[in-house]
Amino acid sequence: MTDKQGWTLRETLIVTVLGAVFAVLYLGWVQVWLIAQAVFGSLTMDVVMGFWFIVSIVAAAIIRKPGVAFTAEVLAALVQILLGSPAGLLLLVTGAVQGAGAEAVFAATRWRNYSLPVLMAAGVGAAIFSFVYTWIRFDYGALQPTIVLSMFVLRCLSGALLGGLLGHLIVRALYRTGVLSGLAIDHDVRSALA
Amino acid sequence: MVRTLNPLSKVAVCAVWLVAAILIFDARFQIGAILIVCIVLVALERTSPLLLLGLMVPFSLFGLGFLTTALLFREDSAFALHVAGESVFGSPAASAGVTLFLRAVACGMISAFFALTTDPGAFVRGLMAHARLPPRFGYALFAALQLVPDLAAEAQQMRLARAMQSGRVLRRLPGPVEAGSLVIPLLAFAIRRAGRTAIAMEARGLDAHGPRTIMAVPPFEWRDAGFAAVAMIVLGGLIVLCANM
Repeated sequence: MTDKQGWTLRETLIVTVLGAVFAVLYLGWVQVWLIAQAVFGSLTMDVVMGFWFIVSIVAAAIIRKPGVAFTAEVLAALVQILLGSPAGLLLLVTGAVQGAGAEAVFAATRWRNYSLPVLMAAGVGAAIFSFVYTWIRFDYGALQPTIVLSMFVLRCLSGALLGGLLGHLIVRALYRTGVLSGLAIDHDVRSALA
Repeated sequence: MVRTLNPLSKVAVCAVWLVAAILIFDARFQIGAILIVCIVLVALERTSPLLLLGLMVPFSLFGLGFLTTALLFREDSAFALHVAGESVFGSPAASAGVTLFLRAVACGMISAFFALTTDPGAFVRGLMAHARLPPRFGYALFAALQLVPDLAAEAQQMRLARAMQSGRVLRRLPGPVEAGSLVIPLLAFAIRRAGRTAIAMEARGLDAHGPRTIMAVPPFEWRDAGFAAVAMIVLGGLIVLCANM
């Protein structure tokens, strides 16, 4: 399959290995978050949350096809299950919710625009979806409105910066290594230069 | 015993229990769920209680964040504290915080139940055979799993090379800056490996279409139905018990 909608085997494997690498990084980031939470308090989760959206943004920016952002997050969670993470099954739900948030933004551009503002918006989209999910799961409705607003703003900022901006920088750095040749990002960059 | 069940029946049961733990805001239900899963794991699977305690540490820290948030920022905190005679632990905010804490641990315990009793390979094969997971994704997941140990080896090799180049002693664990500098090379390594694996798989005829044989598919048996029925009865019983207490 080499059409614009379907995925080639190389693309499928790239999305999966990105899921695997980021699954390991996500597990490491959990330790960073737990230490930061012990030092700085409970709002830390919203500050660091954006990093957990990054695989959907990196994969989507590289492959540039429908469903990539969602699938990459779900695959990262699946890899964590396969690695025996005790939180794996929970992460599957979380990954699906975050991936759907990022995918919704790419869908709004009809999967045509992967510029930095769109990637940052995808991070915000993932943040909003994940915020709704944690609202239901952890009863945010009972908290003071100011603190809920602070958590929401912090999470959106984190999504934009740690998800969107950092994802963009990672994709640019990867592109410079030459490993992305022949993929959609490479075609788009070459078309823009021509 | 639980280990021999079909992974998909375990996923379905765990999903129902997770939804129940998320929707039922009752500390007694969460405690019941934690205890039931613990008893099943320790009694039927001979899981060490110490291992379970260790696995629950991150979930407890996670839950602790919600406990402190509820104590400090819950809307009824100030009034509740006044009613409770300024005692933080007697307030409704504390009670809600404890429920949230227990919910985080209960969800973690249910998730750990699946992780501790399931063979990852059987889970993927089950997904391919019974849940229509496209084999390309299934085999890609197997390939990704094989990649993870190689990532560690590759990272170590890069660190060694850098240490030799700069003439400094290699630290046992990389610091944050060194770990960050390894991310791009490791991602590049993974993407290169994915490309090579794709060529190898295509050369062996793994295309998107066509029938294929899947070895050692975990079957659905009567004991799966029995497990699901018992799990649902216990869940129903726990809900009724909590409602009437």
